[in-house]
Amino acid sequence: MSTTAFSVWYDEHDQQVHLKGALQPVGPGPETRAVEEAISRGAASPGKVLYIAAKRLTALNTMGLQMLACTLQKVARENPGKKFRVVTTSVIPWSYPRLAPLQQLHENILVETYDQDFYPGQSLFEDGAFVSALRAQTKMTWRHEKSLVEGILKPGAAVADICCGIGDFAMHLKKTFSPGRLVAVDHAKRSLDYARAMAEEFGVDGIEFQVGDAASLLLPDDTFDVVFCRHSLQVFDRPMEILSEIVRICKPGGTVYVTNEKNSHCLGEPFGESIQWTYNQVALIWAHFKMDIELGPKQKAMMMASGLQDVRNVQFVVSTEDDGGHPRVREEFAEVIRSWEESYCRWASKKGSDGNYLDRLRQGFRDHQQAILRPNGYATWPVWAGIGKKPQRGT
Amino acid sequence: MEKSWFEIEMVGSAFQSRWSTCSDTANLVAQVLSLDSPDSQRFASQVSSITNELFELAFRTGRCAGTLKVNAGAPEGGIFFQLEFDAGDNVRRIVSEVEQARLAGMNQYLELLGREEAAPTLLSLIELTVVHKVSLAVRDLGQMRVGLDASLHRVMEE
Repeated sequence: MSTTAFSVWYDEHDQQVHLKGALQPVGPGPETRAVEEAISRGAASPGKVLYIAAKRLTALNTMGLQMLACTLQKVARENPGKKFRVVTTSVIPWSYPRLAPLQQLHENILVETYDQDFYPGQSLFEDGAFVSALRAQTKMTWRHEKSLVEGILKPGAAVADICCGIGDFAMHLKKTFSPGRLVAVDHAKRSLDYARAMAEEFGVDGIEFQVGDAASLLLPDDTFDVVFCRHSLQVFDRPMEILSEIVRICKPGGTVYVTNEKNSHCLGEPFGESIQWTYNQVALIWAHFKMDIELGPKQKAMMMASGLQDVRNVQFVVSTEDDGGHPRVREEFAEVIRSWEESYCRWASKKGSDGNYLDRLRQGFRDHQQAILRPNGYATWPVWAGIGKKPQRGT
Repeated sequence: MEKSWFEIEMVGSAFQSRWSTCSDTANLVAQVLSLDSPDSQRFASQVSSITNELFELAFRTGRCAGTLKVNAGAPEGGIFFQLEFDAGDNVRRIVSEVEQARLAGMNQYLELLGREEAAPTLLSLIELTVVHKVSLAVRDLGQMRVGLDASLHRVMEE
């Protein structure tokens, strides 16, 4: 179980009181006073709604619940024009059932399960089109990542794959390296159902697929020899929260491995200018949804700031030259770009871009596919793999 | 009685030396009971949430003497959990509170939940029965020892 220490804070920018970690007091004390103070501060703010974010509350005893109930009841009575919305998560099975009774204490206390907003762009990734992009991407990157993984994975190692998506990287790990334990976590239940079905279909046993929130994992501290988190920090608006959880579950002396991209560095010839324009726009589209597809080169500094040592940020480049430039490689690469085209044009449309813009955006992707499929064309997609060690205790 | 998966026996004074022993032991029990579950971390979170309340009850009412014994198992998606400890003069109170909890409903739970002065042991027992749907039983073992039995037919909702 997660042993994250309890913390609570009121964020005036998003009008939320955040509860994080294990709230299990023996009685009134510093923790309960901190909760009361944060809720009182939030209640005194000018907005009409105060959110109590309990999505990352990993443990709660009855004493903590009672204190929360009494505090909310008090502030609800004192602020009759204000609503108090307690936000729970379905990832933690007791979260809604235990907190739901709070709404019967006062008409302005509301309790809801909020699973569509773990990060701003979540719904963009959980559509069918992106599943196909993820599969094709992993196929392309595995050629490069295999040798990187070989260097850090010892036989019998305990391994976690956080934000595992549809589980294809975990499947590669299992089939190639057969680690001692392999836990694969994702928030999207649909992706995990798909992953379990694929594992069964291919006869791959022993991957523990778990539902979880990467920013508040239920896994215990210091558990895994290697923790992977691929193409995911770039998706979250608060990547350092995820990174700190990844470091927490890694054993002292263990390795953290993350990959992220910088899409504006995707290249292709011919049609270089059109391709370049489109990928510069992709970075802006991601930024609109509070995600950073340019994060790859920045991850070294983030990993060092999270306390990791001996951090290397290794660039590998998926290209038309992979596997000796075999036609199959070009086909797979073009499939990745086709998936991006479909997804990113839809995102741009969601963002409100006009038809001319969408046409030009799509043209860049199509030119990229042309560059990939022409026997004399050349195209690349750069990825950065950040690899760092969690310090041994006392170092 | 269900077949026990494991037993733990702790010196009562050691168990009651630190409050965090309750959650540490609950987490340990939960991890073991979740080994067979396909979604083990969520299963463990749920089990730990339940067993922690019983360990906290033992912490609050135990008399720092004798031993604290745990028997537990997780047959077919459910759990059973048995706790025995020295409760001294609190045995009668525990028996009474378990009986009240078995009969309690949501209204009584809500009334206690919103009252700062509510007895934490009674409130947690009622929460177990009303919210978690745990079946509780209590045994007066004599010599100031008490046994608490908790079982849940299905830990995770589909």
